[in-house]
Amino acid sequence: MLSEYREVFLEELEEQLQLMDDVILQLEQEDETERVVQSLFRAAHTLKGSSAAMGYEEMKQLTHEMEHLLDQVRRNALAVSSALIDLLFKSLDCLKELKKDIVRSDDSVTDISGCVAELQSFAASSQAAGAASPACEEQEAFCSPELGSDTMMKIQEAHDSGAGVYWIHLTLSSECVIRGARLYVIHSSLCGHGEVLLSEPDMESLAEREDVPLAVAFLYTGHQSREELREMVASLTEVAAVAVEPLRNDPDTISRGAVVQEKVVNEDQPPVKPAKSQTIRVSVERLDHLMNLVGELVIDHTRIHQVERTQRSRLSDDSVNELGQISDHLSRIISDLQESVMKARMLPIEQLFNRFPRMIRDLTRDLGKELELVIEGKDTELDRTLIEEIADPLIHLIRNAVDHGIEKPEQRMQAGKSRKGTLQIRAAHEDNGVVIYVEDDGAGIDPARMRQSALAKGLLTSEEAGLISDRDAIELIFRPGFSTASVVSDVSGRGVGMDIVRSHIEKLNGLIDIDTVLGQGTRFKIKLPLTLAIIIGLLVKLHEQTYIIPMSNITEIVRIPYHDIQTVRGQSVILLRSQVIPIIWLHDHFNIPRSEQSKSHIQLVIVGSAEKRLALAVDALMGNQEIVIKTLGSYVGKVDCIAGSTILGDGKVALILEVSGIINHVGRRSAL
Amino acid sequence: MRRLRREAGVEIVQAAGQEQYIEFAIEREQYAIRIQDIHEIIKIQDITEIPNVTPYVKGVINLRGKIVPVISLRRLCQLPDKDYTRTTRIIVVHHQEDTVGIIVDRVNKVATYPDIQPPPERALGIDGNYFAGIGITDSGLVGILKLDEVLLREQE
Repeated sequence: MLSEYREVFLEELEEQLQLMDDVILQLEQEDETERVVQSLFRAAHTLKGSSAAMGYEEMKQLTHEMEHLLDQVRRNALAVSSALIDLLFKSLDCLKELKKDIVRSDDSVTDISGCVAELQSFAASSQAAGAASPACEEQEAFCSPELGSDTMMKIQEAHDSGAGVYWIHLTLSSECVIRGARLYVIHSSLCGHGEVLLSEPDMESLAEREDVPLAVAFLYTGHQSREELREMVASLTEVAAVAVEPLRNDPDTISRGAVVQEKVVNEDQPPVKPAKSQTIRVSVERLDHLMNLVGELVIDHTRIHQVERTQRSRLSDDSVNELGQISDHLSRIISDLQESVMKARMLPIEQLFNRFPRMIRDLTRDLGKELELVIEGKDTELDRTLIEEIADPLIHLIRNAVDHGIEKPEQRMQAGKSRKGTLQIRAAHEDNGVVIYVEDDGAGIDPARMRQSALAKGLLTSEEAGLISDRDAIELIFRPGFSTASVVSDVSGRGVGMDIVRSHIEKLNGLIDIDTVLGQGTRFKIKLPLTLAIIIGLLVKLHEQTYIIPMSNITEIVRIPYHDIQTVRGQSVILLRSQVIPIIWLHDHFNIPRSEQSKSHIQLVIVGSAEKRLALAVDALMGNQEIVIKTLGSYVGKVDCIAGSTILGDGKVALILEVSGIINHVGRRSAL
Repeated sequence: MRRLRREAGVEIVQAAGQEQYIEFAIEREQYAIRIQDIHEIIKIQDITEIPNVTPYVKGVINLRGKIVPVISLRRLCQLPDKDYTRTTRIIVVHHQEDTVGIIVDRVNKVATYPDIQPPPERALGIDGNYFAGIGITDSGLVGILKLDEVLLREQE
């Protein structure tokens, strides 16, 4: 029971924390703060109520102080200042820590006393300053409530449907120890029979009150008669007395009976949440299992298809045609099924993107920069594992953009740009995948500086530095051990930067591309597949064996005459649209014989990303198909240049090439 | 139904019951694996070679949709490769979490060994650690493989 509530509580907590995050950021930007403060206040209030109900004392205390402080802001007793916003952020971080404690089921280890004290002193100092700001919560408490329009509507609805609407006045027995909890139980049992439109005092505010009153009133609607209702309530535990009065129909004369003192904490009606679509929670393992099963189906279907083809070449009768039809139908069903399962695993990238505004705010503050963040395509969906995996590389890129990309305001002014830099993070579906752009309008990357830096770090000889093109120089950024920041800041640049980003993305069968104009900005483009488990692969022959190259790693496929191959310092290369691309014969690396050069042309598959493109020489192209990635198992372990394996239509096992592995391998070899 | 007794640091295995083994051969040498370690015995299949792995890992096969690595006992015993014949089999064993196929020249029979001797330090040309014991039969000696050792070696 308790753990169930805990789940619900944590979900709410997460929601509210995210809301607070957004709202505090807005507070920092907007001039129109009234509405923002109001929603922040409401969030703090909600958390206070629910954390108190769950018995998380620290959280209650902290949110209480926040609420108190915000209340003063709300009353204009306290102005919104950057100090205030910092304090709010600090409290928010503290709340997040508390949340972590709850998730870990620790008995709170996070110390909140510092934060609470700060909040208190801040509030106190403002009170001293703004001396006469008399309106405090307690005074407000006695003002008379009105039934909100929502409630009125519900009353009307109840009348229309023929249900009775009653005020239930009940008094708890004086022995009742945990009044708040008892009232919750009563409240929920009433909800089981009908609907509670209103409660006095408000159920939400109950938990935080030290002095839960014995007398409570509920505005209740249900199909029971007055007498039935009275008996039902009276039978509940620890109810000492109960009175049920029908609500009079005339809205103008609706009276609640002056029985209870009440307290309205929220001035506004809380916003009515839109009806949620019906959902159930499913564990990730189940979804993974489902995906595996679909994978098996895909494999088996490829096999059926293959059988059909061989049968068709051998005999042509109706049964083969029928087999073909069935196979086609099966293929449609399987792809539908696959899509559905994939969709079930997908989440909007919003989850990840929502973390950025806060991060950017902290970064720009620390670095003394001004920046506008533009986020687009929040609702782009991709596989949840991918979202998790892409988080670190993305964060790294963003940090880099803010740290190295965007210039300081003064520099920007000098360069004739606006003071404020712009960072755009965009996600969108493209082809059969997702692309994410991280684009800044900062200084761009200077190829000359890249050369110098590479020279200084010994990554290049001076001869090489002179030879490489600007584009290659820029792409040095992806080399291991490369970092242009002359001062290693704590934000980015520990020398383990972009190469990790790249290899991480390539591990996900993705590509990263860089585009930069000196003085105008830099754009990173990350291309990712929609899912990890099933990919489109290009089947190629090396000698007699079939290998698979993930389609997402392939930039193009070319067929060139042998005599176009040139040699640069012992390395075969081709010149493709003025870009020099080394040719790799995997045959050599895999210890299989190279194809004989009887043919006049050579088939090359260009793979890789911005930093390094490679032309893989293959003996033949066998077409592309959907493949299910299977590991080679722990017995074989990790094999160089091999990402995994799959089962082909003919039942044979084919190995999937790992492009990032090949690139690294080549890099290592050329480094020697 | 096996009792292990330690005597002067040497592990002596006594066949207390009638433990069953699958007896198989490479060239003329006979080996055995405990029957409960064996998942199935299949005919030789198309093996997809994996580049740049230890030589005795021949590659992987598709065992009803499962990718299973196969190793060559010949190569493990440092014997020259030989073409697969009609009698060549893959013995599929379960080893801890893994399923591994072992290629052997032929599978002989199910056997029990009433007399099992501790293995010598070196036996039949390979490291004595590979053996749990030596079964004595009328038709000669049978090396009873200790799968933990045989399969563990590869991962070093």
